[in-house]
Amino acid sequence: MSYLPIDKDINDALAFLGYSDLKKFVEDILPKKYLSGFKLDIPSFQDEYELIKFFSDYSRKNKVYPPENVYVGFGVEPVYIPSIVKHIISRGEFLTSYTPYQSEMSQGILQALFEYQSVMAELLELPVVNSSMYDGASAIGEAILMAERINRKGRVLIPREMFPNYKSVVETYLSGPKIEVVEYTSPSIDEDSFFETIEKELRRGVSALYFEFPDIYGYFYRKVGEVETLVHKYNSIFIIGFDVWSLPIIKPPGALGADIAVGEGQPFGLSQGFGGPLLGIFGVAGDMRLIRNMPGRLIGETKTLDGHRAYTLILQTREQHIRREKATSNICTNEALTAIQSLIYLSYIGKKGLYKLSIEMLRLANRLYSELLKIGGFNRLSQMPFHRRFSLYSEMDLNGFLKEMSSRNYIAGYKYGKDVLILHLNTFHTLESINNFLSDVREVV
Amino acid sequence: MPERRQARWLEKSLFDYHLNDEEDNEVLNILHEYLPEDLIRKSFCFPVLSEFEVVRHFTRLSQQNYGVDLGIYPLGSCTMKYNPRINEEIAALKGFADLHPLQDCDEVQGLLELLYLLSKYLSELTGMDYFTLQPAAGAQGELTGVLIMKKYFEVKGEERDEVIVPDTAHGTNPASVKMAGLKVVEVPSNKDGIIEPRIIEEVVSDKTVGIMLTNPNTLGVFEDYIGEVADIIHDAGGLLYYDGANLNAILGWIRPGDMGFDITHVNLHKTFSTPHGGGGPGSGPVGVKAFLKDFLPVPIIDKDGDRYRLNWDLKYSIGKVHSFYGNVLVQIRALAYILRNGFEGLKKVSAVALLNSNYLFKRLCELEYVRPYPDNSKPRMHEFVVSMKEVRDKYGISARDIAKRILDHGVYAPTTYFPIIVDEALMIEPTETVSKEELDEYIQIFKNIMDEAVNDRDKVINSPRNTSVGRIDDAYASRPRTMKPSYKWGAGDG
Repeated sequence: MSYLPIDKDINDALAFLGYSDLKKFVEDILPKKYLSGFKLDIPSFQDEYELIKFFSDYSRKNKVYPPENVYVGFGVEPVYIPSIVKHIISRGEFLTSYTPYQSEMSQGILQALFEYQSVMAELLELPVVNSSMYDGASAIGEAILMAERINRKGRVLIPREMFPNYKSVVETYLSGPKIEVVEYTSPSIDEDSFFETIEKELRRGVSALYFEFPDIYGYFYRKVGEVETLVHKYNSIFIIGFDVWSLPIIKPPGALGADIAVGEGQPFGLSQGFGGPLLGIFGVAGDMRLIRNMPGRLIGETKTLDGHRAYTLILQTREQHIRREKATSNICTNEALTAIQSLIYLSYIGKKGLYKLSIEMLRLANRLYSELLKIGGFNRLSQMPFHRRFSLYSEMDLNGFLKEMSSRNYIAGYKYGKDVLILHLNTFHTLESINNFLSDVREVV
Repeated sequence: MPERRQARWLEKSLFDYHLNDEEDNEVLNILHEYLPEDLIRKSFCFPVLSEFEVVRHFTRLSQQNYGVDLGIYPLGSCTMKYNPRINEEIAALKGFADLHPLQDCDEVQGLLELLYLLSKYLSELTGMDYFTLQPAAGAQGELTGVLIMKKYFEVKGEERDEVIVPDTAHGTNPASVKMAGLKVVEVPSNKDGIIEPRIIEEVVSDKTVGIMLTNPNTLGVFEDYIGEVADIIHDAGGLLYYDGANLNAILGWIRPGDMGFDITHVNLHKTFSTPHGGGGPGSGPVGVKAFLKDFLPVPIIDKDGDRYRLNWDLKYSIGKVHSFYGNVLVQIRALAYILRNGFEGLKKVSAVALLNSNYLFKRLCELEYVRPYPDNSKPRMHEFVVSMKEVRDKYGISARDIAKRILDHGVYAPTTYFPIIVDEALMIEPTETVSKEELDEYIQIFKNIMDEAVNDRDKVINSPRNTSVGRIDDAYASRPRTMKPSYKWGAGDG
């Protein structure tokens, strides 16, 4: 009962409306027919201390892994959140504001989101990034819907080998307009079949090809340029899924000729939170046809009527509150605050930090890879280059392996299919933590 | 009524600090050890700031922004209520914030139990039987709900593709229908702002998937014929979808399930006080009646004896809508809000929301030129709509001008030009978390602006002047030739 006006305010307003009793007032204005008088057994914690104690007790029933012992990714991973990021993002002016419909009074959020769009645009090497989608998965779904709006072929190409959760979300998004999903084998598994399939299907007509760079196994396909040429030869749309931490050191989507780039932003300074809230990153190339068909909010730099620099929502005629069923998407609420959190994180670590951490993960992943191959029990899956995620075949009982490693306090990877282990490094890993992991793996194997 | 100034730091852009776009040979040398030349990125351009510059930059930006923490934020249908700070601390507990979503259920029993509890409370409060917490926002909840309806008829082998949506609906409703690959059948509201059964009878057919309704609707009026409408839709074999954006009006008093709805979404970032963060994150859980359980997105949380587990095995599931389980840390905050209030507390929340809205409605409509829509003095629900058409026609002052002039007084403006059926609309939702003094000030501000419209017109049309920037040229901002969607734009790309 603690988040209400003082009693005097309530009583004065009631008196103005000719009432002395709040319950009587409500029963008079709500339709009697539906006032069922239901009563629920929801306890009330009158005391803030009781409330936090209740939740603290529950939080302690969950197992928290040391971040350097976690070897899974797929959009969510441990990342150190610097103190200033937590402090700034907690400021009530950001935290408790709404979508900046009155731009003159919401310049703070608008400028920060414009800066987020701009920083991401630099990293992606694409000129336009929207001010966020829900998560990486829905960003892929929306990218394909966007491509379908433009090309209207009713079919799309996606990799057969994909993180199952992502694939499920994509299939859900495509089930509405009934877009046919055609799958191709990832080139890291079978290069010949890959090219054969995509060329055949592109010739038949597909609205888009969604290509993961790196793929689920962590590999970067060097002939991505040939893929791009082929996609554009058939006037299809090239969608690239990226890993944010690879952007500083590996050729980014814009340089690879992507029309749309999508990815998950959580690894740039957000909590894991058992998978949410996350941050869907969505960028497009500088083509008005693409930009007009983009989903989501876009902030632009502009000027006031008297000529000063200012920021505002732009191209709103794409959006549902104006265009209704003709909108490019139904998205309204997005993930603005997590976008700003990642912006503050990136401003803090800067280019130096991006390089340092990206390179550290590259080095450690390569070391871990070669050491694991030495142990025996693990075999190479692909010769292709990787950054911080790689995969190994194993004839071991991988479920048993992961279980045993978990009892040693590790999330030791992700089992994909029946015999592939995918390992993913994060920014907490150090040479020491890798070596400890390796000695535990040796014992378990 | 005093005017109040917002901070005006003229804060420069992040890109106006220092920029580094140079290649770093040391970095490139290391990269060449591990990666082939053709994959390596040579460089990129990035802002360079010291730690204290980062703090100052973003603190200044925050001071150029308005939030609920600063005062009334009466955007209609947005339910901008106070966000309890304790919920932030709770969501930040390591045992929630540091959990990886691929952890085994046995390792997160505490969390699953809480989420199960939240689902149960939401079910009880809305009269539904099962909930998915997965949708990340209300609109995603709508898409989930419409896909459930669509799949339901596919499984039944019925070819239906029309969803009825009133002209007062939120824009997300028709947009969600379209995204689900179905057709929108828009129906008009009557002069009292509500849907009449005869209108529904005219459009309903064996093609009808169902109807999406917000009740009370966006005019702040209760759909009195909901019972009849529900019967017509159900008799035609269709389903009823409840858009929960306006649940704050009836929370604890009336349940969507008791009004005949089969599917309901709730906006945790509205009714259940989680912060809106300048546009998100939100959370839009969807509840269904038991006969639709098997259509929910997977997984849902089930209880086996004392153990909570993620159930991935739903026969007709529409699939997943989120990478993992939705915005879990938002869900935790909402549960904290529910538990802090208790059932009686929640009832009082909606009661005071109704009270504040009606107080403000009645007093604003006493002012000259402020016309209620629909044009009657019947009590409103948690929000209401007024038309400023008279003052526009007579003095050339638009709803937009009035909104901008309101900002000069250090408070936020209502939603403007929505619902689109109302000329010069202002849609106002004060919520339960404003004091009577704030409401009285808001009324006084309106009164002053109406006086200015007559006597000092320039002051209104040249507003705002007290905000961190003056009135923005929105047309310039969106024109292809002059728009600038990123810092990079125009540097060879645009």
